[in-house]
Amino acid sequence: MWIVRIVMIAIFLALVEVAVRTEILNPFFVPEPSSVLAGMASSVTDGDFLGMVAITLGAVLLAFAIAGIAGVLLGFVLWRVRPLGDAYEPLVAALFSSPIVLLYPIFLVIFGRNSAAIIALAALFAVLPTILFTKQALSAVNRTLLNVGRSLSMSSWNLFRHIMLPAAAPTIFTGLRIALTYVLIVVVAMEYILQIGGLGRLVAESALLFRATDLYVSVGLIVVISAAFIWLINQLERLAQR
Amino acid sequence: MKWVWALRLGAVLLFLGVWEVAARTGLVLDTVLPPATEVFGNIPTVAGRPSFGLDVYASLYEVFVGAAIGALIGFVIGAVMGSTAYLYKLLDPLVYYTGAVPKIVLFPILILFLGTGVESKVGIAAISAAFPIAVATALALREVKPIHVKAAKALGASQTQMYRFVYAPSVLGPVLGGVRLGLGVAITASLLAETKVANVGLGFRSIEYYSRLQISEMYALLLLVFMGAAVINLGLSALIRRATHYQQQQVGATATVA
Repeated sequence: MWIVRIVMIAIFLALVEVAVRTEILNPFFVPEPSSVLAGMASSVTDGDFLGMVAITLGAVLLAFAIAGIAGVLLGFVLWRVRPLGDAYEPLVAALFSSPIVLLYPIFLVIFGRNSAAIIALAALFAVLPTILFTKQALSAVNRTLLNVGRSLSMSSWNLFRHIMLPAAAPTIFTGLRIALTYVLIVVVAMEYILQIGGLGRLVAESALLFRATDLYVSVGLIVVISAAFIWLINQLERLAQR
Repeated sequence: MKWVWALRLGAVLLFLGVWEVAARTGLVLDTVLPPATEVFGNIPTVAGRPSFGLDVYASLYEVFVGAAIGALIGFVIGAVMGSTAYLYKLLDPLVYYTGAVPKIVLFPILILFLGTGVESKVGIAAISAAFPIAVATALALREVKPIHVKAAKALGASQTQMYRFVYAPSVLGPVLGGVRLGLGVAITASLLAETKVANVGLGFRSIEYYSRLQISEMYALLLLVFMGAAVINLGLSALIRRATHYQQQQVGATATVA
C-alpha cells in the first residue's frame, strides 16, 4: 500500500514540477518541488535546523508531561468523586470544543512573550482530552470484572491495581495520544504566530523574507516531522496496549 | 440533580470571586489580570465601538465562507475516499497524517496566493475545515449498513433512489457531525490567522488591544469571541439533532484546533 501512496505523491510532485517549469504555475509563488526536496534534504543534516527541532520537541514533551499527569489525576478525581464527575465532565467537554488557542494573548500577558506561554497554552488544551478519556475509561470498566475481584475478596488497592488499571489503560492511552497530537499542533502553531522557539519560527522567518523556496522547505519539513511524530506515537500506543 | 447545578454555579462563582479578589487586592498586577467586574463592564464598551460591527462581519464572513468551501472540498475528497474499500484503505492514512499537521503554517503560502486580506483567512479556514469533513464523510460512507443496501436493491431501488433513501439518510448524521467539527476548526484557524496578518476581524482586534496594552478590553473581547463560538456550536448541534432525529447518534467530545 505504501508503494502506491508514495507513487501517488511522486506523480503529484512531478506534475507540479512540470507546471512550474513551463510557468503554468508562477515560479514566484510555487518553487520547483525538486529544489524544495533538495532544500529539505540539506536541512535535516544541518545543525541549526536540528537545534530548532530539539527546541520544539522539548516544548512538546514538557507540555505533554504536564497535561498527562494533571489530566490523569483530574480524570481519576472526576471518576472517584461521582458528584464532581457529574457536575464537571460536561464543562470539560464544552471547553474542549471551544477555541482555547484564541486565548493566547492572555497567556502572553501572564507569562510574557516566551516559550512558557506556549507550553502553558498547549498543556491547558491537551489536559482536557486526557481528563475526559481517563474519566470515561475508568467509568467504562466492566462491572462483572469488579464483582469477580470482590468475590475473591481483593483489597480495594488490588482491585484498582489489577483490575481497574489494566481494563482502563487502552482508553487512557488513546486519550494521551490525542493529547500529544494537540500539544504538537498548538506548539508549532504558536511558534509560528509568535515567531519564537523552533520549527514554527522557521516558517514565520522565511515568510517574512519572501523567500518562497525556504518557506516551502520549512513547511514541508513540518509536514514530514509531524507525520513521523504521529507515526511514532501510534507505534508507542500499540506497544503499550499489547 | 440540584446539587450538580449547585456545584457548577459554585465553581463559576469561586472562579469569578478569586479572580476579582486577586485583582482588587493587587495580588496579581492589573496589567496582567484586571478585576472581573472591570472586564465585564468593558464588554458594552468593546461591543459599542464602531469597528466592532466590521470586525464581527469580517470574522463571520471568513469562518462561514471558509467552512462552506472546506465542506465542498471535504465532501468531494470524502466521497472519493469512501467510495470503495480499497480507496479508503489507500487514502485514509494520507489524510490522517496530513490532518495532524498544524494547518496554520500554510498561512504564509496562502498569503502569497491570496494576499493579506480576508481571502487568505477564508483559505486557511477552508483547508482546516476540509480535513474533519472529509474524514467524517468517508467513514460514514464506509459504515453504511450492507444490509440496508441489499434490502433496497432487493426491493428494486434505482440508483437515484439508493442515494436518496439509503445513502443520504444514513450518512447525514456523521457528515453533519464532521461539519460541526469543521466549523469549529474554521473559527480557530481564521481568527488565529487574523492575529498574525490582518487589518480587520476579531482576532486582529484582540491582538491590537494586547499590543496597545488595553488588557481589560482584550479580556472583554475574548469573552465575547468565546460566547459567540459557543452559540454557533450549540446552534449547529441543535440543528443536527433536528435533522437527524431518526438516528440514535452520540455526539462525543470533539476538539477544535488550528
